[in-house]
Amino acid sequence: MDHSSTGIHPLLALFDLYLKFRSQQSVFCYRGVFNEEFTSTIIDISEGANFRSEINVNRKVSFLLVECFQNIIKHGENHSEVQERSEGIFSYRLGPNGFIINSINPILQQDKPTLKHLVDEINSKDSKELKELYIRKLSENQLTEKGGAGLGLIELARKSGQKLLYQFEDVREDISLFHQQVTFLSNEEAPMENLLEDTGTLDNMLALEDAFLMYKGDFSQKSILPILSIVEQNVSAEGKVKNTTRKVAHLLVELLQNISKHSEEDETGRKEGIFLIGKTRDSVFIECGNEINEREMHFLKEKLSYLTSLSTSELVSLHKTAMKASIKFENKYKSGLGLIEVVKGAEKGVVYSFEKLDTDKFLFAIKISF
Amino acid sequence: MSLIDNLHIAQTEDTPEVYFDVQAGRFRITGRSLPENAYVFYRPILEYVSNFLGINKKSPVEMEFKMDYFNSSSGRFIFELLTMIEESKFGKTDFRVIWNVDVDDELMIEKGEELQSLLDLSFEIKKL
Repeated sequence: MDHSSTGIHPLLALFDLYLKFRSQQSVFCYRGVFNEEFTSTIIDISEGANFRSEINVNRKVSFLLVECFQNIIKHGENHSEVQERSEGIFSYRLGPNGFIINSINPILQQDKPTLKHLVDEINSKDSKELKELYIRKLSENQLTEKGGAGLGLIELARKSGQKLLYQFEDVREDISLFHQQVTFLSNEEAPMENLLEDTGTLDNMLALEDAFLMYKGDFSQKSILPILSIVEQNVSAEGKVKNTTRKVAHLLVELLQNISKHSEEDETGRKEGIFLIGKTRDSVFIECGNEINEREMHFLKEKLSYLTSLSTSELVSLHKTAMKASIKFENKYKSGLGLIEVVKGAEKGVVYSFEKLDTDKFLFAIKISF
Repeated sequence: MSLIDNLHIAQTEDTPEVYFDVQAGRFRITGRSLPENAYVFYRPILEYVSNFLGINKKSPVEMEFKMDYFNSSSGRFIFELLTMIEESKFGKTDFRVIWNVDVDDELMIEKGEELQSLLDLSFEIKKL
Protein backbone atom coordinates (compact mmCIF):
# COMPACT_ATOMS: atom_id res chain seq x y z
CA MET A 1 0.00 0.00 0.00
CA ASP A 2 1.25 3.40 -0.85
CA HIS A 3 -1.01 6.37 -0.32
CA SER A 4 -0.09 9.83 -1.27
CA SER A 5 -2.12 11.17 1.61
CA THR A 6 -2.52 9.98 5.14
CA GLY A 7 -5.77 9.02 6.81
CA ILE A 8 -8.60 7.40 4.91
CA HIS A 9 -7.82 5.93 1.56
CA PRO A 10 -9.57 8.08 -1.06
CA LEU A 11 -9.28 5.49 -3.80
CA LEU A 12 -10.54 2.47 -1.91
CA ALA A 13 -13.90 2.48 -3.69
CA LEU A 14 -12.22 2.47 -7.08
CA PHE A 15 -10.03 -0.43 -5.99
CA ASP A 16 -13.07 -2.36 -4.70
CA LEU A 17 -14.95 -1.74 -7.93
CA TYR A 18 -11.99 -2.87 -9.96
CA LEU A 19 -11.69 -6.12 -8.02
CA LYS A 20 -15.44 -6.67 -8.30
CA PHE A 21 -15.35 -6.34 -12.08
CA ARG A 22 -11.87 -7.58 -12.88
CA SER A 23 -13.14 -10.74 -14.59
CA GLN A 24 -15.74 -8.90 -16.67
CA GLN A 25 -14.76 -7.83 -20.14
CA SER A 26 -16.72 -4.60 -19.98
CA VAL A 27 -18.95 -2.89 -17.44
CA PHE A 28 -20.75 0.39 -17.85
CA CYS A 29 -22.96 2.21 -15.43
CA TYR A 30 -24.61 5.58 -15.77
CA ARG A 31 -26.67 7.27 -13.07
CA GLY A 32 -28.49 10.45 -13.76
CA VAL A 33 -30.73 12.25 -16.14
CA PHE A 34 -31.73 10.29 -19.21
CA ASN A 35 -31.73 11.91 -22.53
CA GLU A 36 -32.71 10.68 -25.98
CA GLU A 37 -29.39 11.77 -27.41
CA PHE A 38 -27.56 9.21 -25.28
CA THR A 39 -29.10 6.36 -27.22
CA SER A 40 -26.62 6.35 -30.07
CA THR A 41 -23.80 6.95 -27.63
CA ILE A 42 -24.77 3.88 -25.63
CA ILE A 43 -24.63 1.81 -28.80
CA ASP A 44 -21.20 3.17 -29.67
CA ILE A 45 -19.90 2.32 -26.22
CA SER A 46 -21.25 -1.19 -26.36
CA GLU A 47 -19.85 -1.71 -29.82
CA GLY A 48 -16.49 -0.68 -28.44
CA ALA A 49 -16.97 -3.53 -25.99
CA ASN A 50 -17.15 -5.92 -28.92
CA PHE A 51 -19.57 -8.61 -27.94
CA ARG A 52 -18.23 -11.69 -29.72
CA SER A 53 -17.36 -11.43 -33.35
CA GLU A 54 -20.65 -12.53 -34.87
CA ILE A 55 -22.35 -9.51 -36.36
CA ASN A 56 -25.86 -10.79 -35.72
CA VAL A 57 -25.21 -11.10 -32.02
CA ASN A 58 -23.82 -7.60 -31.90
CA ARG A 59 -26.89 -6.22 -33.64
CA LYS A 60 -29.18 -7.98 -31.21
CA VAL A 61 -27.29 -6.60 -28.27
CA SER A 62 -27.45 -3.10 -29.72
CA PHE A 63 -31.15 -3.54 -30.25
CA LEU A 64 -31.68 -4.65 -26.65
CA LEU A 65 -29.66 -1.73 -25.35
CA VAL A 66 -31.69 0.76 -27.32
CA GLU A 67 -35.00 -0.75 -26.24
CA CYS A 68 -34.00 -0.78 -22.58
CA PHE A 69 -32.70 2.70 -22.72
CA GLN A 70 -35.67 4.15 -24.52
CA ASN A 71 -38.07 2.44 -22.14
CA ILE A 72 -36.50 4.40 -19.33
CA ILE A 73 -36.70 7.65 -21.25
CA LYS A 74 -40.36 7.04 -22.01
CA HIS A 75 -41.19 6.61 -18.36
CA GLY A 76 -39.22 9.72 -17.54
CA GLU A 77 -40.96 11.79 -20.13
CA ASN A 78 -44.37 10.63 -19.13
CA HIS A 79 -43.83 11.97 -15.64
CA SER A 80 -41.69 14.96 -16.32
CA GLU A 81 -43.72 17.07 -13.88
CA VAL A 82 -41.55 15.61 -11.13
CA GLN A 83 -37.99 16.25 -12.14
CA GLU A 84 -36.29 13.40 -10.34
CA ARG A 85 -38.40 10.94 -12.25
CA SER A 86 -36.43 11.38 -15.40
CA GLU A 87 -33.42 10.09 -13.52
CA GLY A 88 -32.40 6.50 -13.37
CA ILE A 89 -29.63 3.96 -13.54
CA PHE A 90 -28.57 2.15 -16.63
CA SER A 91 -25.83 -0.44 -16.68
CA TYR A 92 -24.55 -3.33 -18.66
CA ARG A 93 -22.01 -6.04 -18.05
CA LEU A 94 -20.29 -8.17 -20.61
CA GLY A 95 -18.84 -11.23 -18.95
CA PRO A 96 -18.18 -14.90 -19.69
CA ASN A 97 -21.89 -15.81 -19.45
CA GLY A 98 -23.26 -13.15 -21.70
CA PHE A 99 -24.46 -9.62 -21.92
CA ILE A 100 -26.66 -8.39 -19.08
CA ILE A 101 -28.49 -5.08 -19.00
CA ASN A 102 -29.82 -3.73 -15.71
CA SER A 103 -31.79 -0.59 -15.17
CA ILE A 104 -33.59 1.10 -12.33
CA ASN A 105 -36.09 3.82 -13.00
CA PRO A 106 -38.81 5.53 -11.01
CA ILE A 107 -42.44 4.99 -11.92
CA LEU A 108 -45.68 6.21 -10.40
CA GLN A 109 -47.17 3.86 -7.83
CA GLN A 110 -50.44 4.02 -9.74
CA ASP A 111 -48.74 2.52 -12.81
CA LYS A 112 -47.20 -0.36 -10.88
CA PRO A 113 -50.09 -2.88 -11.14
CA THR A 114 -50.35 -2.45 -14.92
CA LEU A 115 -46.60 -2.81 -15.40
CA LYS A 116 -46.42 -5.84 -13.12
CA HIS A 117 -49.30 -7.46 -14.92
CA LEU A 118 -47.67 -6.84 -18.28
CA VAL A 119 -44.25 -8.24 -17.33
CA ASP A 120 -45.84 -11.29 -15.70
CA GLU A 121 -47.91 -11.86 -18.80
CA ILE A 122 -44.82 -11.61 -21.02
CA ASN A 123 -42.86 -13.99 -18.80
CA SER A 124 -45.64 -16.57 -18.91
CA LYS A 125 -45.54 -16.88 -22.70
CA ASP A 126 -43.42 -18.89 -25.10
CA SER A 127 -41.93 -17.34 -28.22
CA LYS A 128 -44.91 -18.09 -30.44
CA GLU A 129 -47.33 -16.57 -27.95
CA LEU A 130 -45.06 -13.56 -27.53
CA LYS A 131 -45.22 -12.92 -31.24
CA GLU A 132 -49.03 -13.03 -31.11
CA LEU A 133 -49.06 -10.71 -28.14
CA TYR A 134 -46.75 -8.34 -29.98
CA ILE A 135 -48.99 -8.21 -33.03
CA ARG A 136 -52.09 -7.72 -30.91
CA LYS A 137 -50.47 -4.86 -28.97
CA LEU A 138 -49.25 -3.34 -32.17
CA SER A 139 -52.76 -2.99 -33.55
CA GLU A 140 -54.17 -1.83 -30.20
CA ASN A 141 -51.46 0.80 -29.97
CA GLN A 142 -52.49 2.39 -33.21
CA LEU A 143 -55.57 3.59 -31.40
CA THR A 144 -53.79 5.13 -28.44
CA GLU A 145 -51.67 8.19 -27.86
CA LYS A 146 -49.07 6.27 -25.88
CA GLY A 147 -46.78 4.86 -28.54
CA GLY A 148 -44.99 1.73 -27.51
CA ALA A 149 -46.56 1.07 -24.12
CA GLY A 150 -45.62 -2.54 -23.56
CA LEU A 151 -44.21 -3.16 -27.01
CA GLY A 152 -40.67 -2.45 -25.89
CA LEU A 153 -40.89 -4.96 -23.06
CA ILE A 154 -42.31 -7.63 -25.35
CA GLU A 155 -39.49 -7.06 -27.79
CA LEU A 156 -36.90 -7.29 -25.02
CA ALA A 157 -38.27 -10.69 -24.03
CA ARG A 158 -38.47 -11.88 -27.64
CA LYS A 159 -35.03 -10.79 -28.72
CA SER A 160 -33.20 -11.86 -25.57
CA GLY A 161 -34.99 -15.20 -25.46
CA GLN A 162 -34.99 -15.02 -21.65
CA LYS A 163 -37.46 -14.10 -18.95
CA LEU A 164 -37.36 -10.50 -17.85
CA LEU A 165 -36.21 -10.19 -14.25
CA TYR A 166 -37.73 -7.39 -12.21
CA GLN A 167 -38.63 -6.11 -8.81
CA PHE A 168 -40.29 -3.02 -7.40
CA GLU A 169 -38.84 -0.96 -4.60
CA ASP A 170 -41.25 1.46 -2.96
CA VAL A 171 -39.41 4.65 -2.15
CA ARG A 172 -42.24 7.10 -1.63
CA GLU A 173 -45.96 7.07 -1.26
CA ASP A 174 -46.37 7.90 -4.92
CA ILE A 175 -43.16 6.54 -6.41
CA SER A 176 -41.72 3.09 -6.85
CA LEU A 177 -38.41 2.09 -8.43
CA PHE A 178 -38.68 -0.43 -11.21
CA HIS A 179 -35.61 -2.69 -11.24
CA GLN A 180 -35.27 -4.58 -14.46
CA GLN A 181 -32.85 -7.05 -16.03
CA VAL A 182 -32.56 -8.20 -19.62
CA THR A 183 -30.24 -11.12 -20.14
CA PHE A 184 -28.57 -12.23 -23.31
CA LEU A 185 -26.77 -15.51 -22.66
CA SER A 186 -23.61 -16.28 -24.62
CA ASN A 187 -24.79 -19.88 -25.13
CA GLU A 188 -27.62 -22.12 -24.06
CA GLU A 189 -25.65 -23.72 -21.22
CA ALA A 190 -24.57 -20.44 -19.66
CA PRO A 191 -26.11 -19.88 -16.23
CA MET A 192 -28.63 -17.09 -15.71
CA GLU A 193 -27.29 -14.59 -13.20
CA ASN A 194 -29.68 -12.42 -11.24
CA LEU A 195 -28.05 -9.02 -10.81
CA LEU A 196 -31.07 -7.06 -9.59
CA GLU A 197 -29.70 -6.76 -6.03
CA ASP A 198 -26.15 -6.30 -7.19
CA THR A 199 -27.12 -3.38 -9.43
CA GLY A 200 -28.68 -1.68 -6.41
CA THR A 201 -25.39 -2.24 -4.55
CA LEU A 202 -23.40 -0.81 -7.43
CA ASP A 203 -25.68 2.21 -7.47
CA ASN A 204 -25.08 2.74 -3.75
CA MET A 205 -21.32 2.43 -4.13
CA LEU A 206 -21.33 5.03 -6.91
CA ALA A 207 -23.71 7.30 -4.98
CA LEU A 208 -21.34 7.26 -1.99
CA GLU A 209 -18.55 8.36 -4.30
CA ASP A 210 -20.74 11.07 -5.94
CA ALA A 211 -20.00 9.38 -9.26
CA PHE A 212 -22.42 9.54 -12.17
CA LEU A 213 -20.53 7.35 -14.59
CA MET A 214 -18.42 4.24 -14.30
CA TYR A 215 -16.70 2.35 -17.05
CA LYS A 216 -14.50 -0.70 -16.89
CA GLY A 217 -13.05 -2.18 -20.03
CA ASP A 218 -11.07 -1.34 -23.09
CA PHE A 219 -9.39 2.09 -23.02
CA SER A 220 -8.77 2.43 -26.73
CA GLN A 221 -9.95 5.48 -28.63
CA LYS A 222 -12.97 3.63 -30.01
CA SER A 223 -14.27 3.19 -26.48
CA ILE A 224 -13.26 6.58 -25.15
CA LEU A 225 -14.85 8.84 -27.77
CA PRO A 226 -18.49 7.89 -27.18
CA ILE A 227 -17.99 8.25 -23.43
CA LEU A 228 -16.73 11.76 -24.03
CA SER A 229 -20.02 12.75 -25.56
CA ILE A 230 -21.94 11.47 -22.50
CA VAL A 231 -19.63 13.48 -20.30
CA GLU A 232 -20.08 16.56 -22.44
CA GLN A 233 -23.84 16.33 -22.23
CA ASN A 234 -24.01 15.42 -18.58
CA VAL A 235 -21.68 18.04 -17.23
CA SER A 236 -23.15 20.74 -19.41
CA ALA A 237 -26.66 19.90 -18.24
CA GLU A 238 -25.61 21.41 -14.94
CA GLY A 239 -25.34 25.10 -15.58
CA LYS A 240 -21.95 26.81 -15.52
CA VAL A 241 -21.26 24.63 -18.45
CA LYS A 242 -18.84 25.12 -21.23
CA ASN A 243 -15.52 25.62 -19.51
CA THR A 244 -16.08 22.82 -17.01
CA THR A 245 -17.25 20.53 -19.78
CA ARG A 246 -14.22 21.26 -21.90
CA LYS A 247 -11.98 20.72 -18.98
CA VAL A 248 -13.50 17.38 -18.06
CA ALA A 249 -13.19 16.22 -21.65
CA HIS A 250 -9.64 17.47 -21.92
CA LEU A 251 -8.46 15.91 -18.68
CA LEU A 252 -10.29 12.66 -19.29
CA VAL A 253 -8.65 12.24 -22.68
CA GLU A 254 -5.27 13.13 -21.26
CA LEU A 255 -5.66 10.76 -18.35
CA LEU A 256 -6.95 7.82 -20.35
CA GLN A 257 -4.47 8.19 -23.17
CA ASN A 258 -1.61 8.63 -20.79
CA ILE A 259 -2.63 5.70 -18.77
CA SER A 260 -3.04 3.50 -21.78
CA LYS A 261 0.59 4.23 -22.60
CA HIS A 262 1.60 2.78 -19.25
CA SER A 263 -0.86 -0.10 -19.40
CA GLU A 264 -0.08 -3.73 -19.44
CA GLU A 265 -1.53 -5.04 -22.66
CA ASP A 266 -3.27 -8.38 -22.48
CA GLU A 267 -2.66 -11.15 -25.02
CA THR A 268 -5.00 -9.50 -27.54
CA GLY A 269 -3.37 -6.09 -27.24
CA ARG A 270 -6.31 -4.59 -25.37
CA LYS A 271 -5.59 -1.92 -22.85
CA GLU A 272 -7.88 -2.07 -19.92
CA GLY A 273 -8.81 0.04 -16.99
CA ILE A 274 -11.59 1.53 -14.95
CA PHE A 275 -12.71 5.07 -14.40
CA LEU A 276 -15.36 7.03 -12.54
CA ILE A 277 -16.54 10.54 -13.18
CA GLY A 278 -18.46 12.46 -10.61
CA LYS A 279 -19.31 15.82 -9.24
CA THR A 280 -19.78 17.28 -5.81
CA ARG A 281 -21.28 20.66 -5.02
CA ASP A 282 -18.08 22.52 -5.75
CA SER A 283 -15.94 20.25 -7.87
CA VAL A 284 -15.78 17.69 -10.62
CA PHE A 285 -13.50 14.68 -10.38
CA ILE A 286 -12.16 11.79 -12.39
CA GLU A 287 -10.88 8.61 -10.80
CA CYS A 288 -8.97 6.28 -13.01
CA GLY A 289 -7.22 2.96 -12.52
CA ASN A 290 -5.31 0.44 -14.56
CA GLU A 291 -2.94 -2.47 -14.18
CA ILE A 292 0.76 -1.82 -14.43
CA ASN A 293 3.94 -3.75 -13.69
CA GLU A 294 6.50 -2.97 -11.01
CA ARG A 295 8.83 -1.07 -13.32
CA GLU A 296 6.02 1.26 -14.44
CA MET A 297 4.99 1.67 -10.82
CA HIS A 298 8.42 3.00 -9.85
CA PHE A 299 8.46 5.30 -12.85
CA LEU A 300 5.01 6.74 -12.11
CA LYS A 301 5.65 7.04 -8.38
CA GLU A 302 8.74 9.08 -8.95
CA LYS A 303 7.20 11.24 -11.63
CA LEU A 304 3.96 11.94 -9.75
CA SER A 305 5.67 12.62 -6.47
CA TYR A 306 7.78 15.23 -8.23
CA LEU A 307 4.90 16.79 -10.20
CA THR A 308 2.57 17.01 -7.21
CA SER A 309 5.29 18.80 -5.21
CA LEU A 310 5.31 21.70 -7.68
CA SER A 311 3.31 24.92 -7.48
CA THR A 312 1.04 26.01 -10.33
CA SER A 313 3.58 28.46 -11.69
CA GLU A 314 6.30 25.83 -11.51
CA LEU A 315 4.06 23.43 -13.42
CA VAL A 316 3.40 26.07 -16.08
CA SER A 317 7.09 26.68 -16.61
CA LEU A 318 7.87 22.95 -16.53
CA HIS A 319 5.23 22.44 -19.22
CA LYS A 320 6.87 25.07 -21.39
CA THR A 321 10.28 23.53 -20.93
CA ALA A 322 8.90 20.08 -21.72
CA MET A 323 7.21 21.46 -24.84
CA LYS A 324 10.47 22.90 -26.09
CA ALA A 325 12.34 19.72 -25.30
CA SER A 326 9.69 17.44 -26.76
CA ILE A 327 10.35 18.34 -30.37
CA LYS A 328 13.98 17.37 -29.99
CA PHE A 329 13.09 13.91 -28.70
CA GLU A 330 13.36 10.88 -30.89
CA ASN A 331 10.48 9.17 -29.10
CA LYS A 332 7.50 10.81 -30.73
CA TYR A 333 4.97 8.85 -28.70
CA LYS A 334 5.89 9.51 -25.07
CA SER A 335 6.48 13.21 -24.77
CA GLY A 336 5.84 13.31 -21.01
CA LEU A 337 3.52 16.29 -21.45
CA GLY A 338 0.33 14.43 -20.58
CA LEU A 339 0.99 13.88 -16.90
CA ILE A 340 2.11 17.49 -16.49
CA GLU A 341 -1.17 18.61 -18.08
CA VAL A 342 -3.14 16.33 -15.79
CA VAL A 343 -1.48 17.56 -12.61
CA LYS A 344 -1.66 21.18 -13.80
CA GLY A 345 -5.37 20.84 -14.54
CA ALA A 346 -6.21 19.22 -11.21
CA GLU A 347 -6.74 22.51 -9.42
CA LYS A 348 -8.47 20.89 -6.47
CA GLY A 349 -5.99 18.13 -5.90
CA VAL A 350 -4.39 14.92 -7.04
CA VAL A 351 -4.26 11.70 -5.05
CA TYR A 352 -2.92 8.42 -6.25
CA SER A 353 -2.12 4.96 -4.98
CA PHE A 354 -0.68 1.65 -6.06
CA GLU A 355 -2.30 -1.56 -4.85
CA LYS A 356 -0.82 -4.98 -5.34
CA LEU A 357 -3.02 -7.32 -7.38
CA ASP A 358 -0.79 -10.30 -8.20
CA THR A 359 2.92 -10.93 -8.54
CA ASP A 360 4.27 -8.00 -10.51
CA LYS A 361 0.80 -6.57 -11.10
CA PHE A 362 -0.43 -3.41 -9.45
CA LEU A 363 -3.48 -1.27 -9.77
CA PHE A 364 -2.39 2.29 -10.35
CA ALA A 365 -5.24 4.54 -9.21
CA ILE A 366 -5.37 8.30 -9.52
CA LYS A 367 -8.03 10.85 -8.63
CA ILE A 368 -7.95 14.38 -9.94
CA SER A 369 -10.38 17.09 -8.80
CA PHE A 370 -11.03 20.45 -10.34
CA MET B 1 1.47 28.67 -60.90
CA SER B 2 2.40 27.11 -57.68
CA LEU B 3 5.02 24.42 -57.23
CA ILE B 4 3.08 22.69 -54.52
CA ASP B 5 -0.51 21.43 -54.38
CA ASN B 6 -3.00 22.46 -51.77
CA LEU B 7 -3.39 20.16 -48.79
CA HIS B 8 -6.80 19.08 -47.63
CA ILE B 9 -7.46 16.54 -44.89
CA ALA B 10 -11.08 16.05 -43.88
CA GLN B 11 -12.15 16.21 -40.27
CA THR B 12 -12.73 12.96 -38.35
CA GLU B 13 -14.13 12.45 -34.87
CA ASP B 14 -10.69 12.76 -33.34
CA THR B 15 -8.67 14.76 -35.84
CA PRO B 16 -9.19 18.32 -37.16
CA GLU B 17 -9.82 19.54 -40.67
CA VAL B 18 -6.67 20.74 -42.36
CA TYR B 19 -6.91 23.01 -45.37
CA PHE B 20 -3.80 24.66 -46.73
CA ASP B 21 -4.58 26.84 -49.74
CA VAL B 22 -1.27 27.81 -51.27
CA GLN B 23 -2.63 30.27 -53.89
CA ALA B 24 -4.66 32.19 -51.36
CA GLY B 25 -1.88 32.00 -48.79
CA ARG B 26 -4.34 30.73 -46.21
CA PHE B 27 -3.63 27.72 -44.02
CA ARG B 28 -6.35 26.54 -41.66
CA ILE B 29 -6.57 23.87 -38.96
CA THR B 30 -9.99 23.55 -37.36
CA GLY B 31 -11.74 21.14 -35.00
CA ARG B 32 -10.60 18.87 -32.23
CA SER B 33 -7.41 16.91 -32.21
CA LEU B 34 -7.07 13.98 -29.89
CA PRO B 35 -5.63 10.99 -31.72
CA GLU B 36 -3.87 8.44 -29.52
CA ASN B 37 -0.76 8.66 -31.62
CA ALA B 38 -0.62 12.20 -32.97
CA TYR B 39 2.62 11.52 -34.84
CA VAL B 40 0.81 9.46 -37.45
CA PHE B 41 -1.61 12.32 -38.14
CA TYR B 42 0.83 15.23 -38.00
CA ARG B 43 3.83 13.74 -39.82
CA PRO B 44 2.45 14.38 -43.35
CA ILE B 45 1.42 17.89 -42.32
CA LEU B 46 4.90 18.64 -41.03
CA GLU B 47 6.42 17.26 -44.23
CA TYR B 48 4.08 19.37 -46.32
CA VAL B 49 4.91 22.56 -44.46
CA SER B 50 8.61 21.75 -44.62
CA ASN B 51 8.35 21.43 -48.42
CA PHE B 52 6.30 24.57 -48.64
CA LEU B 53 8.79 26.58 -46.63
CA GLY B 54 11.60 25.36 -48.86
CA ILE B 55 9.81 26.27 -52.11
CA ASN B 56 7.73 29.33 -51.38
CA LYS B 57 9.02 32.63 -52.61
CA LYS B 58 7.87 34.49 -49.55
CA SER B 59 4.41 35.51 -50.62
CA PRO B 60 2.55 36.28 -47.38
CA VAL B 61 0.84 33.45 -45.56
CA GLU B 62 -1.77 33.44 -42.85
CA MET B 63 -2.12 30.34 -40.70
CA GLU B 64 -5.37 30.15 -38.80
CA PHE B 65 -6.28 27.82 -35.99
CA LYS B 66 -9.70 27.25 -34.50
CA MET B 67 -9.36 24.36 -32.13
CA ASP B 68 -12.16 22.94 -29.98
CA TYR B 69 -9.49 21.20 -27.99
CA PHE B 70 -6.43 19.06 -28.45
CA ASN B 71 -4.51 16.50 -26.44
CA SER B 72 -0.97 16.94 -25.23
CA SER B 73 0.57 14.90 -27.99
CA SER B 74 -1.23 16.98 -30.65
CA GLY B 75 -0.01 20.08 -28.81
CA ARG B 76 3.53 18.87 -29.18
CA PHE B 77 3.16 18.63 -32.98
CA ILE B 78 1.34 21.95 -33.35
CA PHE B 79 4.28 23.45 -31.51
CA GLU B 80 6.73 21.66 -33.79
CA LEU B 81 4.87 22.95 -36.82
CA LEU B 82 5.03 26.53 -35.58
CA THR B 83 8.68 26.14 -34.63
CA MET B 84 9.47 25.14 -38.21
CA ILE B 85 7.85 28.37 -39.39
CA GLU B 86 9.67 30.40 -36.76
CA GLU B 87 13.00 28.98 -37.93
CA SER B 88 12.25 29.48 -41.64
CA LYS B 89 13.21 32.40 -43.84
CA PHE B 90 9.76 33.92 -43.44
CA GLY B 91 9.72 37.14 -41.50
CA LYS B 92 7.09 38.14 -39.00
CA THR B 93 5.21 40.20 -41.55
CA ASP B 94 5.18 37.42 -44.13
CA PHE B 95 3.86 34.62 -41.97
CA ARG B 96 1.14 35.45 -39.50
CA VAL B 97 -0.47 33.00 -37.11
CA ILE B 98 -4.01 33.65 -35.97
CA TRP B 99 -5.29 31.67 -33.01
CA ASN B 100 -9.07 31.92 -33.05
CA VAL B 101 -10.88 31.12 -29.81
CA ASP B 102 -14.33 31.50 -28.37
CA VAL B 103 -14.17 34.38 -25.95
CA ASP B 104 -15.23 32.13 -23.05
CA ASP B 105 -13.01 29.17 -23.87
CA GLU B 106 -10.48 29.44 -21.04
CA LEU B 107 -8.65 26.28 -21.97
CA MET B 108 -7.95 27.21 -25.59
CA ILE B 109 -7.07 30.79 -24.62
CA GLU B 110 -4.55 29.37 -22.15
CA LYS B 111 -3.13 27.05 -24.82
CA GLY B 112 -2.85 29.92 -27.29
CA GLU B 113 -1.09 32.10 -24.76
CA GLU B 114 1.36 29.36 -23.98
CA LEU B 115 2.25 28.87 -27.65
CA GLN B 116 2.50 32.62 -28.09
CA SER B 117 4.98 32.89 -25.21
CA LEU B 118 7.10 30.06 -26.58
CA LEU B 119 7.42 31.35 -30.13
CA ASP B 120 8.99 34.33 -31.76
CA LEU B 121 6.29 34.74 -34.40
CA SER B 122 3.52 37.09 -35.36
CA PHE B 123 0.93 35.29 -33.24
CA GLU B 124 -2.43 36.91 -32.67
CA ILE B 125 -5.04 35.51 -30.30
CA LYS B 126 -8.38 36.48 -31.74
CA LYS B 127 -11.29 36.15 -29.31
CA LEU B 128 -14.51 35.60 -31.20
